[in-house]
Amino acid sequence: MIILIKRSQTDVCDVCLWQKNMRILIVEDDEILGEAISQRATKQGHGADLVSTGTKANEILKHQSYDLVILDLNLPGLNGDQVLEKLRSRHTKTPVLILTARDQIEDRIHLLDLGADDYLAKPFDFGELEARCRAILRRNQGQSLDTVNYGNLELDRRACTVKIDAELVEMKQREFRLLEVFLSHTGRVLSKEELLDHLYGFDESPSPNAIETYVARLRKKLQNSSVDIRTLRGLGYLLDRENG
Amino acid sequence: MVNYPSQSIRSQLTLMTVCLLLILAALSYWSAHLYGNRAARLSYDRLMAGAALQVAESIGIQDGEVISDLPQAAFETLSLAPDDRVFYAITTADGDHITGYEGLPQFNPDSGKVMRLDGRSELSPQFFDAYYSNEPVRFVVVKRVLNDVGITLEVQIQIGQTRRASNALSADISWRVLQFVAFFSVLALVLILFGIWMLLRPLNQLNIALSERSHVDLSPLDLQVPLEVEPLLKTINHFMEQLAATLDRLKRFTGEAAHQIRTPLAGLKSQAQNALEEHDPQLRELQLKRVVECSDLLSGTVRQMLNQAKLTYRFQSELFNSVRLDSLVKEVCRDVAVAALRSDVEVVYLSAVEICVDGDEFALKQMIQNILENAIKYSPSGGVVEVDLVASAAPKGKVSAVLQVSDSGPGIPENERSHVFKQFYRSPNNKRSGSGLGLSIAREVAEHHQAILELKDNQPHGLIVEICFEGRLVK
Repeated sequence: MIILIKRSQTDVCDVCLWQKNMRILIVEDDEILGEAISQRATKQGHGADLVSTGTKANEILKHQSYDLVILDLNLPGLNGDQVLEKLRSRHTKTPVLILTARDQIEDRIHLLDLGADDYLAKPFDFGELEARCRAILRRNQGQSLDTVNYGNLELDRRACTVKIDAELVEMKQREFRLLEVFLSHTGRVLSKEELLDHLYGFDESPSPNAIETYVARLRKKLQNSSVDIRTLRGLGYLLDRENG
Repeated sequence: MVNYPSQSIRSQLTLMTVCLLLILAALSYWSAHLYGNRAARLSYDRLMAGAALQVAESIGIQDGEVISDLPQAAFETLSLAPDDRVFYAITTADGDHITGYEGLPQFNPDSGKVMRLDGRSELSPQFFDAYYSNEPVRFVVVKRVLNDVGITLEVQIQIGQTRRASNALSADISWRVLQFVAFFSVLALVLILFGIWMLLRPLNQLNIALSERSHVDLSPLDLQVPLEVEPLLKTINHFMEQLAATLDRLKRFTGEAAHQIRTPLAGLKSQAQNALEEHDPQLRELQLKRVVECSDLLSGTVRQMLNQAKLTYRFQSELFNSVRLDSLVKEVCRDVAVAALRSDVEVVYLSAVEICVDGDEFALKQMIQNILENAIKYSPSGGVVEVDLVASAAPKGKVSAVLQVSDSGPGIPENERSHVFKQFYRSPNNKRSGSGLGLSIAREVAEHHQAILELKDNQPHGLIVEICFEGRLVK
């Protein structure tokens, strides 16, 4: 289910993570929701197992390994956080995404402390769920992942190259770093201060105007791509694809 | 902490009164006893002194011999105390016995107090107490100097009397005083107890009025109470008023909420059922899209309702912290900006001031988010939502922070402005979906922060939401 886009539609792919045929365990006691998630995952070519109690989930996780666990919190038998605790106590690093009906900050901190990779409040959009799953997997395999795709843009971390429609674009180091920061925060408005934090070390103290210069240069180099850096007055910058 | 049993004011007051009265009674009895003793002693001392002086007058010297003709009257005076025995002796100053009882106890000036009736001369009568003949006896000593040809002789007349009558008089006086004191103590106690009862009656009445009323009756208590109890009554009435208002709000909220949840649920179900039976794939897709729309609306409503419940809870439980208003506003702007761009609305932030306010960050965030989402929702395609934060000097070195969110939507007509802050209010001209809670929550948060929320017209058209806080500049 993690891959929202089929191969023929790579042009609308988000920052893509190519991985097919993953094994996903869905633990959800609400039959309708569980079924919906499971169907979606199966349709996208993943192997999805659906269980409806915490006890069962715990049993299965003892003997089987999965690429991803989608875990509801309120479960009959063992609670979601108990399942997670037991999983982590067995030193299993399987990424876990929590589904919760609560969205209070304290809950989130508790869950992240227990070893959840991310959480999503119900009700959610499938698009959002898939984006979160991708982000988790990217973080988990982040270092081994070299190329990032966005629109018709491709950034290769190892080779330090950027391609638009498979055509190489020359970039200075700072511009490349800036694009990399934007690509790892798609869908978010980044303030100048945040960009500065990412681009410069503690000992450097560039003015926010430096960012403006780099953004202007990067924007010029991305002219021919389907990607644009939008300026939101007073707020910061957003990397955006044309037609949304 | 040790939990002491609560004490009744009445029993405490009674206990204190009784103690006070007992102390007073003991004091007055003791002083009466002293006074009685003294009065009895003085009267009998006078009688004895009189007798002694009479005897002294009757003594003379004849031919160098002391002669004495004891006057009858002197002893008759003393016989006024019928039960007492009288002793007398006449001696010379050197102690030679002349007449009367021998071996009477002598007055020793070192061992006792010299008591005189007037204290002027050495010759005035002196009194002392001594134990004689198995009884305490009061003695008087009168000295007299006798002069004859060639002879000066000093004689000493000593008269003693047992103290029965004196003691009886003293006891009588004490007894009468005791009766008097007891009577008045009891009378005072009764009066004070009555007073306490009278004073505590309003509390009792309040208690009865509270315990007798039904638990659903939240009307204010109408009782005549003393000044000191009035604050208590006011507080009780205030609490009941608040409870009644809360219950009333809850009742209205539940009714409205039921409507707001059930209606989209009904729509959702109908559309889904239609889709089930629809054979035309295009129509079916349309219906399913409506299902998703309905769900979105429903989750928006539920989110706002839960937020409101959470805010109500937080208002009662969270203390204010210092919040960087500019950072918070920018954060919310960034959060909503991406979704706004999808509907072709741009959010811009115009201010550069750095300002702090005291508040609940979660609540303030909800308020700003609701106002921004509202502005974005009603903005036309291609519209711009402008967010500005202005600081201006206010009295007492404070700064007033004005947050303005302006849109270029249809605006809100003057006559509807007072209604848009009501829960679940939906303008009759409003075609857009919504929970009708956003602005009501925003207003509630503003009020909780003592901020003033106002609606103004934007030029050429549109709405400006203006919130005025009391804040301070970041140093």
